[in-house]
Amino acid sequence: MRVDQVAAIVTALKVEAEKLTVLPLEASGKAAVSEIQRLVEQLAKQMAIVDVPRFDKAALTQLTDGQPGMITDLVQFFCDKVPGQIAELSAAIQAKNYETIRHLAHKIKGSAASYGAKKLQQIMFILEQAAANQQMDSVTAQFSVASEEFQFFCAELKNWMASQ
Amino acid sequence: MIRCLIIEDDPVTVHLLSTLIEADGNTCVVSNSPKEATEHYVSGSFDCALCPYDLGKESGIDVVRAIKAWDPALSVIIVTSVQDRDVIKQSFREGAIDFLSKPVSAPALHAAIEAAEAKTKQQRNYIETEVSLRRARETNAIFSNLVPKEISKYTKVAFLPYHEVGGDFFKIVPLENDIFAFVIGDVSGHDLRSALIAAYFQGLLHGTTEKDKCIMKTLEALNDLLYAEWERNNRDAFNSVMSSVSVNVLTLDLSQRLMSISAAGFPPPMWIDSDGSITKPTLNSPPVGWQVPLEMANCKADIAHTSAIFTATDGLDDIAQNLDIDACAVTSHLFLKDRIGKDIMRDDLLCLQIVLDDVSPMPLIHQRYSGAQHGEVDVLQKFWRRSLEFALDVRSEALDNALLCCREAVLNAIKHGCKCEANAVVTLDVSYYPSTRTVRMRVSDPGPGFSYDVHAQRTEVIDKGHLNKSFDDHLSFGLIIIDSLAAHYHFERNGATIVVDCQC
Repeated sequence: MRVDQVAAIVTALKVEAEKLTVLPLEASGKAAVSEIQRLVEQLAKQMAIVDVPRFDKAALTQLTDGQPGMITDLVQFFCDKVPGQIAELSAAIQAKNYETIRHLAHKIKGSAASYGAKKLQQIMFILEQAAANQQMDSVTAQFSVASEEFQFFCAELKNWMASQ
Repeated sequence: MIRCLIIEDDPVTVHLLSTLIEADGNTCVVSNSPKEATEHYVSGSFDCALCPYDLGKESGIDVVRAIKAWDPALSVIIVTSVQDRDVIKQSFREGAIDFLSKPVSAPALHAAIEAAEAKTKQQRNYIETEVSLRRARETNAIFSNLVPKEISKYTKVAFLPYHEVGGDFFKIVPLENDIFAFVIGDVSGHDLRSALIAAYFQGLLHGTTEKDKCIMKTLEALNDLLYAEWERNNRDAFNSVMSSVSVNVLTLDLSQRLMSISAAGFPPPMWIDSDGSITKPTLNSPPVGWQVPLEMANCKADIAHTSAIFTATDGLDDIAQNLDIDACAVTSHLFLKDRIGKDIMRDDLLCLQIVLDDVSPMPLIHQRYSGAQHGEVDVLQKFWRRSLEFALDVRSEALDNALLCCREAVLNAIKHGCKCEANAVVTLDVSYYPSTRTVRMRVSDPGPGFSYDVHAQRTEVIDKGHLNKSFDDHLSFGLIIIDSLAAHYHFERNGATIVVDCQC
């Protein structure tokens, strides 16, 4: 299925979930509707990530004003350091330490923005917000894709570097 | 080379920023927190600081506050991926000068730290100037309170600076036994240049008078110097800077009770006798530095009956003009209340009181009115009220009565003493005796005076109800009012001067 088709389904689901809220339901029914809405919102956020390009090459080129030697050093440092931060993030999630989760997600988000890792930046943005709202299932869901996304980004980054 | 302080706990961002900064030949040091930075480095070591918006336990706003408290001149740049308008606004309010959004580009970072360095330099210069100005003002205040021990019991000094720094100064020069010269001056302008010239002049005065006791020679030397500078600047500069010095030199022989005055450009001094009469000579001459040779206005005075002498810089007249009151009232307020609100000041104010009697009246009003001003008495009365209320800080029925007596005495003098003629002059001196809380009004006219039993007239008109021709005569009616309201009154010069005392 293509991304735009999934996006259309998510939008339709949001409209249907909205209709449910006006139904005269018992308390348990209202709770169920609320849960449906939350899941649809989460899906919409995932879609927002899906829609974002992984690598903004222009941002990285602009970062160093086109100096290749400097890019190599910076990229290497980024790829070496961020796994450690992701591991710290994992430990904070295990410990359910929301403030540490939020702060680490904020840091990785900033680094990702600097290196043109647009999708990773977006994941970390959602993760940071989820931590601020203490939504552990959303935190876990975002973290599960973050680690993988970082690997994908580093691979794409290194390929691009090799082609320069 | 720009010296940057990076406050950041994220190694990736630190590495990125330091790489970009050092690539341009600049230097940077890294701290994990503002606390660490302030403990390890000396304030003033950096040209700019970079910090994130979110530093975990501390927000970027906290960081900006901490840095500004440590080094107020240091420019702070916030580097963040947060794009919140309120956050940006608050950062600027706290003193951040720039806000860089991630991804940060090398050119944008370079431009930002260059601008930050320039801003820091500007702030450091500004703070340095502020500190210098404050020190200069404090030093000026110290100079202005230097009174030789042997004359200290005679002298009271009030120095109220309005500008950060200025050229008001005074110096007492002992000449011989019991002979002292009181020199009060004001260099034009309100800047370090003015303060420097004032200090130079005081030094010159000190040195030359130590040697030959001739103040005039010093003034002439200063006049030549300032005039030559003006000539040199004026020849080839459109915006030439010219300094001049207004100065009053009062030479007092305390044993012979004689005073000579030399004045250039200032309001003249004034003195008050024990009977409340006030003297303010007319002395017109340009300030020192305007012309060669120096011409000063001179006069001599017998101060045998004088209680106190006052001389002040023109800041005193500025206050009087600003409030539309008599300058004497400002003088009295200054020494009676020991303060003047800065809101009413327009210039630095230095005022000197030389006290010759232990019980000295204070001057409140010294005015001269033409015989043609008979229609203006309501306006004059308002002026007197403002002056007295300001000087004494009092509003009371007793003051109303004093003002009414003053009005009647002045009207009598204008109508009868001056015959309402424009070239005839009435003199009004109002003074205050603090020990008895008495306001004394002395009204003199150039007329021949009169012979009149006021008290008998009052008994005739008020007590017996005998209205006769004289009741229509303002002389008798005005004097009956004074007789009714004043604590005491008497006539001098065959009635051409009336002296009225009212308790206030």
